[in-house]
Amino acid sequence: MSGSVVVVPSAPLLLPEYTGRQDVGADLRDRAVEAIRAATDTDGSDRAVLVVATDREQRGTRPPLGQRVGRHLCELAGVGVDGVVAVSWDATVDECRAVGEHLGRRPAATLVVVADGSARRGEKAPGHLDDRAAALDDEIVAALRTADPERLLALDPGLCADLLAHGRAPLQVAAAAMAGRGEPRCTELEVSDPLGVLYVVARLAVG
Amino acid sequence: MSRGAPLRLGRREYAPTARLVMAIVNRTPDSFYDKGLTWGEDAAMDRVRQVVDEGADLVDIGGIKAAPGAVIDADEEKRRVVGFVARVRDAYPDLVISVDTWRSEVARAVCEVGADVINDAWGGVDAGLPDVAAEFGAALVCTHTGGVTPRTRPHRIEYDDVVADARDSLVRQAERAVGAGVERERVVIDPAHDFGKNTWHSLEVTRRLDELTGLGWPVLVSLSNKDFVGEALDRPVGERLTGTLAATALCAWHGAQIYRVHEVPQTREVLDLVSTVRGDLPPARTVRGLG
Repeated sequence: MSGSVVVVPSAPLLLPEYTGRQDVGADLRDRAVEAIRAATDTDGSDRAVLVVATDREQRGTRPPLGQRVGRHLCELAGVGVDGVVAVSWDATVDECRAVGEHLGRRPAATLVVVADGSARRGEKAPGHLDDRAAALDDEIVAALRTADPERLLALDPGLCADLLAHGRAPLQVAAAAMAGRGEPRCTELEVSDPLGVLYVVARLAVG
Repeated sequence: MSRGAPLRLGRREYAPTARLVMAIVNRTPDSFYDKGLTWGEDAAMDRVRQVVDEGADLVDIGGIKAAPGAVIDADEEKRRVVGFVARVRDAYPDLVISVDTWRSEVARAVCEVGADVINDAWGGVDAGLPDVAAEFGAALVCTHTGGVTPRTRPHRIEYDDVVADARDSLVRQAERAVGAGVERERVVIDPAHDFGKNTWHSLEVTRRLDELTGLGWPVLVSLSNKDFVGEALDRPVGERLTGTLAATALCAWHGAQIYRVHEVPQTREVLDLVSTVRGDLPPARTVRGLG
């Protein structure tokens, strides 16, 4: 695979159906859309493959939130979605690796990875404060900044589940897809946590 | 138009058209609205005195805030509420006393000292609660939380149809309570605004509350100063009374019978106005054009 990897947030508030009179996610959405557009431009394409997690709190029959958010962001970017890889949010590292390696053997495609860090970054965070959240998120950000697939694959599923880091499995799928394919490098990385959840917008160029 | 259901709390019986004010009395140092104002037992007792004077029909005593925070085990919860319930019972023999707890161990302890209602705000996570209510002849409030763990915030929860989910869960819990021996008129259902719900869900539950009041069980609503009111109007805690009262009026029109609130006189007035419009309560004084 020689396409780029783009990491975007999966916050439901990025979707029109969850947006109130004030568009709280406007800036974040703009940044994510711009990153998708830049990545596909770099890859000389207008198509992408989504890598998303299933919902942790599945109660209904709708597609996973990450899939809907990713699709919406691609639509806004004018990028077609050629496929969706929906990995179980609690998939093992081996499972993520297998899916990612399979993906890596396919023809190059821009991967849009819909993934967040911990949702336990403060007392008002969805999962309340957990003191371990900052260190985990620092590790995720460092792994992306250094474009190090093995570091992403070393994230502990149990710890990530405890800390409501919903992006772990899709990140590991993307990491396995990148591994062994040229020298990945990070070309953009922005993080924010206005609501106690770590949002990441990142671009990794591969090959 | 759906109507209420027969209701019995303590030694009292209420008509299906009655609209009752349940005053919140927190024995907590950290609840979101009063932030520990009635943490001290004497302050809590003053609060009881005040809300009774203001016309509350019942009090709801709680020892644990709903939001995440310091872990409060059953022993500490009992330390906070059991003695206090006994004190309130002693001072007000006829007052209907509810206790907000999800633990059957705590429910048993408060029923032993005179509590009339167990308000299970967390959707029946302790399967022993109906048995305790049945044993003591207490009422039981069943709530819809979407199955979340007590004291967790909803995060990215979705329902195909939140009202249908609430209806199915509440009917199942209510029937289980009756099956355990709780008197049918002492089983109350509460859709639990903001519990396992985002603002869109709570607004939909409010809009379609008649689908729950039509089920034949008395409905309790807990709207007071909650986030869905705050997000609907972009108001912080402390500026949500007007919105709370508007939501109260809507729920009253749909037939809810118990209102769990911080502000008693304002709620009483709104409920009385709705009751007069509905024809359930004669106006207080009518001379206009009638002299």
